[in-house]
Amino acid sequence: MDVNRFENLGQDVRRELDAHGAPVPSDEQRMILLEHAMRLGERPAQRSWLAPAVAAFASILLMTGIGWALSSVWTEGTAPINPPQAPITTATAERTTHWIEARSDAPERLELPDGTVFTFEPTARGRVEVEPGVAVRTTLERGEMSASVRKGQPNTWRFWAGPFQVQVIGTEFTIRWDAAEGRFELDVREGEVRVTGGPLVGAGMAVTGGQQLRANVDDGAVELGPLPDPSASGALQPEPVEADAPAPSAVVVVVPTERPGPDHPQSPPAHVAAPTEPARVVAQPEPARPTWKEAAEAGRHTEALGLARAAGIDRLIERLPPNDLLLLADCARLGGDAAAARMTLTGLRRRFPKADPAAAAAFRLGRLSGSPAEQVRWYRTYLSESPSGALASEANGRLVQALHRSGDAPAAQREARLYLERYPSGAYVAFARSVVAQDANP
Amino acid sequence: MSNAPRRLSAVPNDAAPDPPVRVLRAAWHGSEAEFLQALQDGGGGAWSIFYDRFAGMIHATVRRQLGRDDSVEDLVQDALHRLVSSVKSVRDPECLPGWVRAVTINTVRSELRRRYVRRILHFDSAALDRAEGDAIDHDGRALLRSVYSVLDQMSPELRIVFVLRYIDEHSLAEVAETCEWSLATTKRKLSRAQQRFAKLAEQLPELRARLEGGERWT
Repeated sequence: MDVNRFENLGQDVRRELDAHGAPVPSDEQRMILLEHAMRLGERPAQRSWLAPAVAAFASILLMTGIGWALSSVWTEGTAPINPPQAPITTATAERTTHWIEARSDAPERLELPDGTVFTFEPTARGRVEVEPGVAVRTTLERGEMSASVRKGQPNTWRFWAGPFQVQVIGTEFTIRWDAAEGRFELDVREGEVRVTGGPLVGAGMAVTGGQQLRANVDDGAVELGPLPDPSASGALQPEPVEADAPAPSAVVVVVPTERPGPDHPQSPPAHVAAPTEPARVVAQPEPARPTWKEAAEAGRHTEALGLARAAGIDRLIERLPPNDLLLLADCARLGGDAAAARMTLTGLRRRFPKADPAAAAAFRLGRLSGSPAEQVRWYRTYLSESPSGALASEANGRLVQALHRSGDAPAAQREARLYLERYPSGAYVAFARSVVAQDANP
Repeated sequence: MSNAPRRLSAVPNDAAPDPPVRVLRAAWHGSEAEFLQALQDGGGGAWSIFYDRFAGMIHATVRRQLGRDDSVEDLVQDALHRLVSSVKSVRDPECLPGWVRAVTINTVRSELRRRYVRRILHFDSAALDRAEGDAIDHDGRALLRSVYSVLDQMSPELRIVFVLRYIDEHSLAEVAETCEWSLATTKRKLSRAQQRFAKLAEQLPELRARLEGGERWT
């Protein structure tokens, strides 16, 4: 048979497919991709044999009491002081990783030999990797930290807070990171920094002295303005501390490491010592992670679903944080178990009705619904809970489709007109126009 | 300048007041090697640009392999997951487009194999009742239904090579690279795919006439 006939046939098929379903970018897919990529970036790097060995040695030191003596050298003044003063940790000349978890009633201060000072405010947690003369990599896991970086040092300075990266030359600034809300704030008092990550794609954004940058991972909002009055409200605040809550002591873990590279590895969290204990050198084993999650993050959805079933999906639904529930639901959906996906999403909304992922769950429930009426309900739920959310345009477009399928022509046309007003270059413009045109030419 | 923070739009806006609004979905300004490194580091900004560059290609590849099918979006997402998970295996930034296509095709192949096995075991029908998608315009629906009902009965390997060559319009060399076959193997499989398609098309009078007569579909 003539090959040209296949070529002609293929061209016609291609034209038909592209004419009625040309590929369009999807905000939902982009967000899911970014979430997955962020997890990839946070995945722990392979650890050398040396780090566990050193950690084990540190444990022995701790058990024999030598650790306590060492800690008194590396950390000072960890006993409660009134008014609270930042205890000072002086970094040594070796490559070190400092795990810092500030106690609830006092900041934690780390001073490098070059004069650079990091201050972790109460309840803040993070780590500082120092490779003298080469790089200093700081990760703020939660809360607020300030840095006064001295100019003229050969170090490369990198700061991470969630998906955001801050590159520094010489400056004074404060970073706040609220992982639960996806909120990032940066106050630059002096010098200039460049921020990338999250919604700040490409080369990112320069922030200079006297400016404040606010960004939100969830809705992609980015605000740049002058530094607010320090007494003004609205900035991220440290977690409130109950008056009678036990105040954990600050703990600094110093773990020499020989792992090279500019990445920012996720490492075990600092151990919080008993309330009245002084700071100690603590060695922590690698924390066990849920295996279903590892498989999910590697994109092995069917395997992840099987592991989740083995662990008990019911139990996971009652135990996992909201973002993990979204991940579990995605695994179930991509693994072909729509019922488990629905159950997970419904559980998420029941347990965390006010959290941002609840709205994302509503959107996903709309996608999973078989009936147009159900789809309409869930997309409207999403839009009511997150009217300017990252998936709002997608939900609006899908709402028009669902209303059209349900046979509610007046509502479909009404929503189609609203869609065209709100998203004139949106992915569903052609469909919305066709719905509106049906109204004009009944 | 007021003390209120300035909200930045994510898209260009010609009517924006001074100071100018920044374009957040920017192109990558570094080298391709730096771009690959940023992807491997899990940088959200780089992955957003990656999505802008390749999502259309991934979507088109999946859609042309499956036709109008409810699973297209899920498979695109699945392919994106696989790409994130395997990006550290890429060494040459110039290989990115070919790697994206190969991973996408592997994702499609997994799904087609699953369907093929189910069909052999009679868990599924011959998939003649295909989803019609969301399009209101019905032009070409008969063509798509006929072609993809034939493709649904082909083995995954033959289907993929046929679609890559004739619907995706890739060269033989590109098909070989995507499927990780030699050129000779690709030619052999394509020949078998043509024969299989033609044989199955004989059961559908319109399609048979089309292939025998060589007329364009109307």
